[in-house]
Amino acid sequence: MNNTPSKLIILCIHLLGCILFTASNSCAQPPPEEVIIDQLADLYQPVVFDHSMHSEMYDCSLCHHTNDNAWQNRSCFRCHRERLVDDKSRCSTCHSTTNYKEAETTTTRNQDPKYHIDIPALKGAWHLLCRNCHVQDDGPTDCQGCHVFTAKGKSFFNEKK
Amino acid sequence: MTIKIQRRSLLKGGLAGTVLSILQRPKSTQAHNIKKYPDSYGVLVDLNRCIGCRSCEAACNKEQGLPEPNTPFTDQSIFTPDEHGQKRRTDATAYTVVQRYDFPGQDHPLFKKVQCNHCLEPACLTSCFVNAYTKTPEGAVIYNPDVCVGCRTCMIACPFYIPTFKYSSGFHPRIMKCIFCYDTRLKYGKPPACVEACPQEALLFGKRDDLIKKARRRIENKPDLYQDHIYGEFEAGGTSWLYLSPVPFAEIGFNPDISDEPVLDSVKNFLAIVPMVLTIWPALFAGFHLLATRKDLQAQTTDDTSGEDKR
Repeated sequence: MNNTPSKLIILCIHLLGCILFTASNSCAQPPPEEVIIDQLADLYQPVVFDHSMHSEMYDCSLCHHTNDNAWQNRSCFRCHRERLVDDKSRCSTCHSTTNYKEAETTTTRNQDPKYHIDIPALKGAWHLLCRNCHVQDDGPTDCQGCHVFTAKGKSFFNEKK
Repeated sequence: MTIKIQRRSLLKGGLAGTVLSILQRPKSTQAHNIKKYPDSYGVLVDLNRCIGCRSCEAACNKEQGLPEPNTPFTDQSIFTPDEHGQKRRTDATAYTVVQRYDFPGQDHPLFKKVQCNHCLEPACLTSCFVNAYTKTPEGAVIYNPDVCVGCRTCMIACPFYIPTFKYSSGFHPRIMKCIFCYDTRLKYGKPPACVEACPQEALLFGKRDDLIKKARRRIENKPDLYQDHIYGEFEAGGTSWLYLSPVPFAEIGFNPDISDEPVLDSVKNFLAIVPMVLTIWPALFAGFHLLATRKDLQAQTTDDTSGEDKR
């Protein structure tokens, strides 16, 4: 089963392995004009994210919720204070690139898990954050509005042409 | 030809059979103790998150090698109910389908993924007299087409109307239903294809016990967004697939009348009688028939012998 999406996704992650959504320590640094979101690109082409447009419209901490101001209001802050000065902090630090971790399910039984029990994985985190906002503020909400199919994606969805 | 039946021996046999059947009744008819696999997997379906993109359907189609659909999986017109007002349902070409529920006055419709719920005490398994179904310790309800005789009792037994019959292969009976990607994924502790494809994490894979905890926490954290009910936690004796919904489950096609007792409990007594009926009744009634027609037979035989005498 070499063609399972999971393997290809993991392969993509290993190959590309690039740092995305690099959360700066503050919003003081000049923000990038565009961000290419390709960490999980497989069935869809990488998203060309118009960063400048979004940063003009919204507060940075809406997406970069490890930024100092927003971070202190999150329950994560109670333990993860050091995240503030970690310049490598990016989405995939907390949001796993696979949507299931074996370790997560073998440890929580017969325990009383207080934290880390329902953190969305990277794909879920992006879509829940971006799309929910798009629904509210009339951004594109159909799949191809943000990322167009690759050839593989087209055949996956049985799209002719 | 003469058939000699001793009235005495027939009655003796019948009596012995009846006594045996009374003695062999099911020993207990008390509340059923659900045979739990404590480490079994499940999937939590959060209907608040589903956007009806049908990625799960496409992934299922590829993973299970199902036939190509008539329209691409991007086609949203498929959600429109048919001329009878019926929503889509699983069939021999689709183990899972997404349904759309429109609510007047609401901006956004609600989408609901339908597939086998993988009951902890499956009615399909109970009803199958050739044991074509198996509940695996991992949580999947799988099906063996090699022994299936195509009686389709499982289709009637299922409280969720999930198993479907592949009518195109009538001579090689084949029930089509979601098997939790058991052969290719679940066996190795991996999530099924639909879960992996879901962009919104509307489908969450994990140990069933953990999923219930997570579901409870979601309800606690956002009580205005969720019904205080995990569908499948207890329904039909519990299912491996669980649902969270923002609206009462009865409004989106979930049967609210499904009892918390496994279907097995209501049919156990009957099912215990079936083998008894199949083995004893034919002999018993054949005996009664022969007894009732004995005089005719005797008359016939005497006629025959008298005829021979005349000749």
